Amino acid sequence: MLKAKNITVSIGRTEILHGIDFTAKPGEFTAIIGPNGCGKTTLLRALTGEMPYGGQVIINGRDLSEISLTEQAIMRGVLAQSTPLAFPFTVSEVVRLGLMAGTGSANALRRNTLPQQALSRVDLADYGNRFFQELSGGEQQRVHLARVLCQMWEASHNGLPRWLFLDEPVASLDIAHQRDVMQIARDFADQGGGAVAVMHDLNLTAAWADHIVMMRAGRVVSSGNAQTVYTNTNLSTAYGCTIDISTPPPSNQPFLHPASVISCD
Amino acid sequence: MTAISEMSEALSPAHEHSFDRSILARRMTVALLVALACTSYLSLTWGAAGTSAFTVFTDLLQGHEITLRDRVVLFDIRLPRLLMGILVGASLAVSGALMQGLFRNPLADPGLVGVSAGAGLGAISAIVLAGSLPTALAALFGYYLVPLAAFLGGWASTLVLYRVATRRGQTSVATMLLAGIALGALSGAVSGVLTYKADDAQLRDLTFWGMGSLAGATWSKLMIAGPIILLAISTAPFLGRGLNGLALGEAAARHLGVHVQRVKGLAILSVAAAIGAAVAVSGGIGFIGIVVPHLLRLSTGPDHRYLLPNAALLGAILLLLADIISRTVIAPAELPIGIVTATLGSPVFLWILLRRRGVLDM
Repeated sequence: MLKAKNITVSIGRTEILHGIDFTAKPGEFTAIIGPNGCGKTTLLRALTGEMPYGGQVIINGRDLSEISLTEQAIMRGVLAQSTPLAFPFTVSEVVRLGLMAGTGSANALRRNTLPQQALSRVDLADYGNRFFQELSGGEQQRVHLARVLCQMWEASHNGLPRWLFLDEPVASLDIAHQRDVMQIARDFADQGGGAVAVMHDLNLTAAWADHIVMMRAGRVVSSGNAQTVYTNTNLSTAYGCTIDISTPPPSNQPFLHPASVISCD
Repeated sequence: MTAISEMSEALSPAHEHSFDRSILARRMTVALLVALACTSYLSLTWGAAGTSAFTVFTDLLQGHEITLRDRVVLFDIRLPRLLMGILVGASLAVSGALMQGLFRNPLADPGLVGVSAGAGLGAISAIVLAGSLPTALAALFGYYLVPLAAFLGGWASTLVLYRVATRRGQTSVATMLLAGIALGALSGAVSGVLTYKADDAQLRDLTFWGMGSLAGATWSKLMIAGPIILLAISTAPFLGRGLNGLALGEAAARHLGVHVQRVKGLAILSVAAAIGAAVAVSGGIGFIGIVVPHLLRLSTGPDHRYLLPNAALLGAILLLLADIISRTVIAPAELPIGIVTATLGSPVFLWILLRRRGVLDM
């Protein structure tokens, strides 16, 4: 279980998050949504200990601030929105950096095969010897995802769930690879891990996420499944506009038609 | 055992289709060790005095007497100079590689960004102001005063540079290079004032020291600088993994379990100590720190676990070669070694700039 209580984050004198309560369960894909600048990424950074925060983050029953960096690296992997790379590493060298976190014997035995498996998982099987800097933005993002997968290949460790944090993982991807990445998060959750992703695409989120947390201006507007969160009241509170909501097959999940966005502020 | 299992791992079928530069890097280490042995032999043999190291060694082995002249040339002049060359070359190259890893940029070099100038200012202050120190204090530090002051100067410059050029874990190349110019100019100006204040004896010391040369190598200097340099570059094996993580930025490194602050602090201390000691005994020698890591990254990749030890070896080799050139080109006179490394190194630096023109402002 991942529990955050009364999280506040300030950058300089500006408070960005005003006391957020947040829960994510293992076995579930949790999505954080909300308009630009509402503090989604900041929340993710607080949850991963990347940013100083007020309040408490409890991960697998332990206070995050009391867990060593080495243990944190075993418990959770983080994919940032963008990760610029210094020096001419090859793709497989970048993916191998994921092994650095060191998860004991399970990984040691598979050090040679894991990077290649992770690359295949993100559809870059033949890219191992290419230079990272030569790839397109979307391909680079998938290489980093493979690196994080290398770090988090098993969804649990010593009987405890592991956590996958993804910050806008599909932002620069084409529709086929968006689906691949969503499937990866889904599978990770299905194997008992916890996946937490900051998302922008509301329809993609409705189709894939179990639990949705909707934010606005550093506060949680609503949380629950897509049916609960995607209401006209919530959407207009968060985004300042009303959108036609339908539930078309095959998923019968709420669907927001982009052309129906009306009366934005 | 570890080496064997690593080798078998490296040779396992999983690698057949994927080209692994770490094997190449390990072979490079072996090749560089052999090359260093050859260069060391050349350095012992070639010199203004026609003493042949080979003849002296065979004479010694066969129990023959060797002349006093040969003994002095070989053991009191060439041998300390050889060892000093190895240590200084290694410390310049490793410091370059460490700084580049720390700043996440291949253009960071202690000579270019003012760290050597800061260390130089420290050394000059110690030479000129030693007389005005309380006698007890001066006696306490003794011969270590100059290297210690150089270390402090280098450390302060590195810290200031890092604070100015790095924001939220990202280094701006332009800011780093410009801040380096400012730091270098400031150190140069203060050094100038100190030189102006120096008396005749101190001026001789300064001139001799400032030439950037291994010619002043003696056993006593070696005893002072050697341990500092060895200690500083022996931290490198503990930094390789962390600097690899840092190539992804501070946040991603942290998520991989790297103790970022610890790695940064240790890297800065090591650079300051290595550069401080090197500058204290041999003056400012440029470009080794930028050329060596660059050549190695091109040939065997940027993995710091191999880059750092290989840089130590190649740095030593290149400095010994530069030293051989410096003392044979216009023999029996000597060219300052700084001139040789700058002549060979600056075109390489320009070449790196040309290749990176498009991404310099990232």
